[in-house]
Amino acid sequence: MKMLKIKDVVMVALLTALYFIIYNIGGMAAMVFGPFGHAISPGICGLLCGVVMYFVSRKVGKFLQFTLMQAIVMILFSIMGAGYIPWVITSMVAAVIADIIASREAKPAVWKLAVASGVFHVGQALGSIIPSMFFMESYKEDWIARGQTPEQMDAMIKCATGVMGVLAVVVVFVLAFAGIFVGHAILKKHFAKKELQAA
Amino acid sequence: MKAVKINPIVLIIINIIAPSMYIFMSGKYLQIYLLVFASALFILMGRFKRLAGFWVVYALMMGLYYLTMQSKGTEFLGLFIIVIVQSVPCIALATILVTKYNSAQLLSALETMHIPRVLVVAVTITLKYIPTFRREFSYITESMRLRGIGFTWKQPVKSFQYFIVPQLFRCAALAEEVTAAGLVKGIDAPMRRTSYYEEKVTFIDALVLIVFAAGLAGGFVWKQML
Repeated sequence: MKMLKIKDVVMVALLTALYFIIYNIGGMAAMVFGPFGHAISPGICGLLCGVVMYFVSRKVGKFLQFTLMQAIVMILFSIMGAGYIPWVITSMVAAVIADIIASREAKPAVWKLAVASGVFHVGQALGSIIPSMFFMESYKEDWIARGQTPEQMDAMIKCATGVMGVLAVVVVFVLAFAGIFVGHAILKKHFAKKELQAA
Repeated sequence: MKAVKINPIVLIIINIIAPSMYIFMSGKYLQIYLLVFASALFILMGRFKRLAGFWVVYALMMGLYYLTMQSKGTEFLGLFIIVIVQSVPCIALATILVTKYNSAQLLSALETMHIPRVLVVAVTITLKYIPTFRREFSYITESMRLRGIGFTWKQPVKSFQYFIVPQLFRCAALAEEVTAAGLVKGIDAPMRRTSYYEEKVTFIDALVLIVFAAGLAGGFVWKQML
């Protein structure tokens, strides 16, 4: 299991900047779909950012690469004033699991990477699903204070709990899983060419 | 009036604390307080152009919010906009971090927070790289235009590929350059890093934090009294 060197840290940092921008665009696009769109927004981001995660895995391929990526994203959101503690916790835990799944080897199978991406983005989705399931009142109060209406919060909680909550998790996982295969389809010829040159 | 220099760590602390305060006080109070506080900081730092831009963005978004809240069909967009509106003062302060301070200043400031060096380096690089994307994408769109390639919804994956692949490989090439520059400057040296920009907390920094804390305390007391 190889650990990150300074060159890898720089590479992950630059690619995270790209991830962060696509993430924000995807997140805003997801809002068009209303409360359910909000619940599945990490999946839409996962679909669009799969290519970046695939590239990170193939170019860096070292343990804790996804944890570092997630940590940077969370710090950036906190600096921008959009930090939310439950979201940070679930996202970081999921990123470590994603690393355990797909970063212990330099070139993991595409399906393993897809599972890791699914877990990575489900972790982000759970940041709103877990509080709305287990700490519903304080979650509601917090977001009403941030300008949401009680009716809207009820609709959002409905989309993040019970069957809809499970459905949101499944949709997020499937979209993020598919994102890696999109990334693989886009980048495989570029990496095949590089491997041929190296050989 | 002479522009005041504020330690970047003060701006980071404000941005981390401010959004978590919504649970403890009235959202309206915090929204207005952050708007006034951020504007005062802009004036203190002599960033008048940026302040004007910040107010224009804020006013436009508030206008959009009131417009979307008029109809049931667009209400959900309005509720999304209001969350972003609340982040505008913090985002505006974050833009100062990126534009006013150079990488060495940010590194020195973040190191005083005792965050692991790997994370400090990574966050600094990411923060400084994000604003360059608009230029990078304009290069890509210009190249696409010269080759007669346009974005089409009929082939979304292919069109996405034209945007993303050059950007990814550009990142990879840039990583080599940034790493080389960092290694020359001893970024991986195991000893404590010293800097020309030793960012110490000054009287002004302490005063800014005290005023910020006092405003938050005021909001908390006000909520208790309601």
